[in-house]
Amino acid sequence: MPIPIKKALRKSFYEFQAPSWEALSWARDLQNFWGHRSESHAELIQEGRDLARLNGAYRLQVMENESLRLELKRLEALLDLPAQPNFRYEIARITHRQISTWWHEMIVRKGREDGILEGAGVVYSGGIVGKVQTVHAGTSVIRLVTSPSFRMVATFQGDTQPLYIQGWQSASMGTPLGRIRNVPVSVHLSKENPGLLVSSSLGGVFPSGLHLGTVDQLAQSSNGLFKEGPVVFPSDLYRLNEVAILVPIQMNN
Amino acid sequence: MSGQQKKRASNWRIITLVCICGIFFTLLLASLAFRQFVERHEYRDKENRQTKRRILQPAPRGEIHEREGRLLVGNQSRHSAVIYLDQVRKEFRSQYLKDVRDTRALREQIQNKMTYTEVEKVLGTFIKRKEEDQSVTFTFEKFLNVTFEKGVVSRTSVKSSDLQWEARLKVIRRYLHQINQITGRKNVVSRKKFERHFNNKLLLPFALVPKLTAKEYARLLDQLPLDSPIQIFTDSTRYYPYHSAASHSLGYVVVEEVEDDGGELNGQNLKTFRLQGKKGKTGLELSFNDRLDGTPGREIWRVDPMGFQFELVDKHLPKFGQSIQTSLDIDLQVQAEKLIEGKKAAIVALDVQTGEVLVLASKPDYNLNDLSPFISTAVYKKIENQGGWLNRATQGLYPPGSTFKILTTIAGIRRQVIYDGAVYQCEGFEKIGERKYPCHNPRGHFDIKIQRALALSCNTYFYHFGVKTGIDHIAKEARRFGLHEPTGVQLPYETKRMLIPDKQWKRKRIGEGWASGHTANVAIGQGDVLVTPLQMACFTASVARRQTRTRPTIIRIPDEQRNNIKHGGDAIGLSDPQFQQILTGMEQAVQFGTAQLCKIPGIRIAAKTGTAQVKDSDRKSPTFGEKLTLAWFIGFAPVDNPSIAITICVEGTDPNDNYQGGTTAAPIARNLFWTYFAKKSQKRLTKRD
Repeated sequence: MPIPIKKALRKSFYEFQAPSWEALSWARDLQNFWGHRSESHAELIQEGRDLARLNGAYRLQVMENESLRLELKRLEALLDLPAQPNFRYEIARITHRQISTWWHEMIVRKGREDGILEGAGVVYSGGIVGKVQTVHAGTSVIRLVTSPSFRMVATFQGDTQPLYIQGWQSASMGTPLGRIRNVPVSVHLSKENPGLLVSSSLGGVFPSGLHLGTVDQLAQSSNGLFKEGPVVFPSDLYRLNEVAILVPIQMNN
Repeated sequence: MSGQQKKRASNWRIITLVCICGIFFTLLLASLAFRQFVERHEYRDKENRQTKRRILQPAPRGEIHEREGRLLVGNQSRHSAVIYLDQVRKEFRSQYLKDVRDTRALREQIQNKMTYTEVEKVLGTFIKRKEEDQSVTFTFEKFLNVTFEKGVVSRTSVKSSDLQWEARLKVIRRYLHQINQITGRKNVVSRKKFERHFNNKLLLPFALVPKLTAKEYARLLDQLPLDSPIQIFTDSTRYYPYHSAASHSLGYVVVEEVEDDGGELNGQNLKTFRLQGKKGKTGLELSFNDRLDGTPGREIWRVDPMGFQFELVDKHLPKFGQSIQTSLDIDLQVQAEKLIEGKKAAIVALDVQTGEVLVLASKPDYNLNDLSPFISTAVYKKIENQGGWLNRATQGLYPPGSTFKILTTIAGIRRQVIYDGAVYQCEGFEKIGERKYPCHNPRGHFDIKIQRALALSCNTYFYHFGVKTGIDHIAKEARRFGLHEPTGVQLPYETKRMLIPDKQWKRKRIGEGWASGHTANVAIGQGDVLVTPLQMACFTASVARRQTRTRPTIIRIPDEQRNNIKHGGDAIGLSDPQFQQILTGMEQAVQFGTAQLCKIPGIRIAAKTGTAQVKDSDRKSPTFGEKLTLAWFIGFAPVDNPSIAITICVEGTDPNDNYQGGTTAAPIARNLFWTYFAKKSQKRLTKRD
């Protein structure tokens, strides 16, 4: 079959298949909605109280963040630092997950029409989820950090040395895992003293400081130059319902 | 002939034929067996040489630590963007075929009898022009050669090898462009460089960007697809967390291709591609190169007829080199270097009991990180102009000045010329022969005994008793303390040109006889005496232990061996009261004498200062031939149980510099003693807690 036809078929397959996943996702949301409708008044009042408390805490945090942001801006102006890349958060609902040995992917309800770009970073409240791999009209495919074909740069919290992170084969029900490479031999980690990995803004995809995972064991790499070891990502990575896609404002403009 | 006879004759012919065939067949078998069994190794070697290639990878070098385990020399990653050429072979081919098609299409447009103007309209401006007898050949884009004779096209041709190289380069440049876009670089790749790599190192990755910054590395990792032929190649380079501290002792490495490991690595007869490794050039990196250097890794690849990788046959990973722990105390070392910053000076501090080198500082020096991964010409010249390459502690030769009076005293006491009751009247000068030798105090020290003579560093006392002792005994004593030979510390290029002059030396080298005046000069550490600061430090430690030799070591001695150290040499050969005279003199020098600027309340320090004069022998120096001063200090503490011996030598760089042991070197020593004892007390307190 000629290549253009093959390409067109592949593209249209996604575009035709996507509505069915989206419909399923909507149906699940509706099911949850009716599930909540059946809850008693007492339960709803209790939930409402908890929510109010949480909202109060978040409001305080927002105020604190705002003052920190202003302080940061003041210091940047004082030191004449270049502005950090800005991102717009596009919240997207997950419609489908594909966790197999070779790739770990998710499909979300946002696509080209919402300004999503290929290669954009994807995060959630617990840290980094992955990167946008393919963008379709109304959906996007996200490659998870646990995917063996995913790699990115991270640093240990409080350090600046860029380290190599790659996804690792892990079962869909198991612990999400990755591998860290090129760690200097002078770094020593243990279960009592684990290393917290955070994103680095050096790569230009993620802002710095987003939580990625933890490392508690390192062994000498096969070439003997560095150390490497497993990275344990947050356990809720495979159970997410919503993610935020980082759309770089400059890129988007 | 009857039928029977005919048949018999025919049988014989058949038998003969069979025999001949049999012989040939046997020969064939024998030859086959010979090839298979006897010449098997030769053919296997040939086959291996033709089809296998070996890659040698450098092993990471071991680390160097200071005495408390802190890292002095480590390895840090160095990233480069490379491309494995076998992964883009298909792209080379398809690009070449495309170029051939394009060239062919262009060629078809050029017809015989066309003029240059017509050709130019089709092909654009030429790239190269070559004239021959009757013709001119123009090379256009796509390596299309058009030959003109009598102003019209006579023939067209294409050099396919050029086209092939250009196609390969196009692919490489495409990937380089991708890197440039991500990193913002403007790197280019030349055909010459690419051709050289392709022809000689096909199996090794081709470096597109040899040294990536952390940001570029991060961007490429984040933005390049994992299956891209562009790979991030990571190797290690030396890293020095304390920058210039102990630079002369630690030394540096130079880039060198990995060497075979003395027959341990298989495949030595194969064509070998060597990655670049490192080799110690100076300092500990050179002295302990064999220990620091790991075992190189090895890969053996079966290659296809073009020389591209086909399959991995054998792989051995490189093994990390061994680490070494030095005896240096980095806190003291950094402090010592800070104290002589901006000067030409050397400081050596030894552990009196073990001979471990705690400090070995020499200024000017260099930032080791500037020399890694290679030394640029600008950096080399800058260090050279500052005189930074010279390790003044082990290679600098200086007259020891008045610090040598300790040795003259020992020689005098052993010769029974100097004794407790011996009183000398210093009148400000000593007349030896017809010449008056002055004391540094022109008014004189009046009646003076050995203790005060040492404390006040009375020159005339030592002229007098030095001459009485005699040069033979002074020189013999100096040799007994090993001042005539290198100390043997584990650092390369320690000078061997130290000098203890005597009568034989003078006659042999200068062709003159020895006079008493020469002895007087030697007695106060002037004249032709030349020693290194490290030698004087060993001498000080030996005196502190009441022995004649100290074997210095820059490698930390394990705890279990510290009480069983043999330095060689003999006991000092002085009775307790005799030795006490020297100790008292040195202690009084600190209490009220020339070394009083190193006094620290609560710590008993024994010391001797010295101020020597030298002629500037550096022909490049603007002060060449002029007299410069040297400020010396030797001392140890605590007096009752010595643990540290310090030697300082500060060179004057200008004739107006009035450097003196007491005012220039002694305050430096005070600061170092203070740092040492403060750290010791801190440790004791921490242990107690």
